[in-house]
Amino acid sequence: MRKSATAVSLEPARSGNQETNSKGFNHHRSRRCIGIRIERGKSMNRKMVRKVTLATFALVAVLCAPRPGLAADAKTPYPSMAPLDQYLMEDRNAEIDLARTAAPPSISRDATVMVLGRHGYETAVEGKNGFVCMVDRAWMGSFDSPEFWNPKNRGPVCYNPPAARSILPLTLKRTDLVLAGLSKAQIIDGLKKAFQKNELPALEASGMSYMMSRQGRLNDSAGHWVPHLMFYVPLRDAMSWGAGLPGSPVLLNPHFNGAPEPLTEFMIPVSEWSDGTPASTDHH
Amino acid sequence: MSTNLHPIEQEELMAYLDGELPADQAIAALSHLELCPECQTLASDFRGVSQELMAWEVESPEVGIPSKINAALGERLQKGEAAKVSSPRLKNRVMTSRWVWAGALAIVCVAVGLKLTLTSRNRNEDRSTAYPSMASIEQYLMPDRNAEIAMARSAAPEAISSDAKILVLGWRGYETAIEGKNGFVCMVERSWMSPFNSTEFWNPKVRGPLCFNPAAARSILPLTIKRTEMVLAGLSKAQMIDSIKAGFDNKKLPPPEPGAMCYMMSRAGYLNDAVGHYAPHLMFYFPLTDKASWGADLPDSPVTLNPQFQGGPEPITEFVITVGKWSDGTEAPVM
Repeated sequence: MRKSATAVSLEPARSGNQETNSKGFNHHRSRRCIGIRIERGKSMNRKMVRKVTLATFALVAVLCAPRPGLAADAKTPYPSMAPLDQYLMEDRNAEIDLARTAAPPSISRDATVMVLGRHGYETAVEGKNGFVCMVDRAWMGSFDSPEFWNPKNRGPVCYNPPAARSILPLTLKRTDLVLAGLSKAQIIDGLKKAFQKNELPALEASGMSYMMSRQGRLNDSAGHWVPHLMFYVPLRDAMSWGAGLPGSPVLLNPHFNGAPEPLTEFMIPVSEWSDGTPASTDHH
Repeated sequence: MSTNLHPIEQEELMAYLDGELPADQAIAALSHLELCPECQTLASDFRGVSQELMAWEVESPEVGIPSKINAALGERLQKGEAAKVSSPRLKNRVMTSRWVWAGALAIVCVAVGLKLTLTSRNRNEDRSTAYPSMASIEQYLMPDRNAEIAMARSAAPEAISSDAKILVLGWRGYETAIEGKNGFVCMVERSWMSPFNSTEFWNPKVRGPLCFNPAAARSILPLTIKRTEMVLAGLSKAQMIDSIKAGFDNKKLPPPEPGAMCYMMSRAGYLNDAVGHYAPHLMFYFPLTDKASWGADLPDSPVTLNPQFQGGPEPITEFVITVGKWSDGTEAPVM
């Protein structure tokens, strides 16, 4: 990359003094959570930097928290798991409908739909097109996210058939470990062991998912964010897709990326919600 | 053309243009063409004649001859009968006129024969299209190398393309114009990267700037290189298809790598006559699969299937997702 370009990295910053303002906003941590490291050259485009910063902040603010198990968790609004009831949706039909909003009706109408129960996800509707729609909960975020335990998060997603076979099992595994009452460290350890023992399937080529719901709530900062598609590839760096670079429509989702799941997830915002209404494409 | 100066005869050159030379001779012919301006001109002339002949249509005669013309012809015929014995000069003129007609007839015969020869390789192609056969190579080349480099780079945001390797099209195929350092490869595709049954397969105006990511540069770019070499060697579509199939069968052509994708976000491109520069988009490559696996082309789906490959013959599926901005950051129309 030329020095005049703006380099955006999703790696956490590793040094710097911690300063807290009058509102209790920790500048050092916020820089770390946003995870953007910017190298400024002579002709750096400040407007572009702002856009990238704002948009990425909305999505990856989840990186704010320190590593799992550290005392810093206590500083987040969601330091530990809330009662299970807060993660469940009382109205099963409402959860089915919400899950289906992840993709256009032409896809979700014939999809299998799973809903979260007290013992994990269960099939509510059998599908016939190979897609599986469900509503992710907060624990599908990064383990160092400050919203890892946010009980309000609802992430409608529809997996295509290859992702339903190879990515959905990760969601089911994490959920099982969470509902078993394990700590973050134990969950991470459980996932690592599952991969080592080949209990989790290998990534299938062409795995992708739809997240085009305007009814979802991805986190406190982003709300429903923008409609987007997600793509799963073997673990690699963001540059392999040009993700996060100025002007690139591709973003890196940090929620797997080797921590601990050995795969990389890219996102591409699209112009319409699943119901066909236009969405702002000024996401970065 | 003297055989002392040129290793190929005119007949061979025409056979090369017809796609009738074996591959090794075709490559030899191409190699000579690259270095021989005289042969380039001749080849261009041959193609020009072929195209003009293919575009030529004989107008239908009028159904009835107007009565005034009939009367005038009758009058001239009577005068001619009366004068033909008395005027040797006129007799010579009549004889000359006959030779002219005979010559004209011969020219028409030669032209028809030439047309049949030059278009023999396109017998199975759609003659109703505007581009029934390959145009002269010059029409596919960009005379300004720097313009082609700039166009190739316009496929992706500067943050990506400024460090990418750049390929440009030359007489013998794509060649490296600039070495890169981020693993991306940018280039300008030509019309022969369309599906083989595309009506614009030979459209010389097509310019498709794209930047392959590293995985696609290793596994998809070789397909572009392969098709281009065969096109420039003068192979027919059928020969190209056979060769590509063989390339995959004997594993000389690689399968798409996981994560292979490319950027096509140029507003300077020209993808075909129908869509112009289309919309900025990304493309994703996979082993041949059903488009339903991505929900492609379903109502309100942002994913579409690109029929560029899809088993015809490359065993690759290519999905397209449009994005909101051109590579220069300007807003693009919602598709």
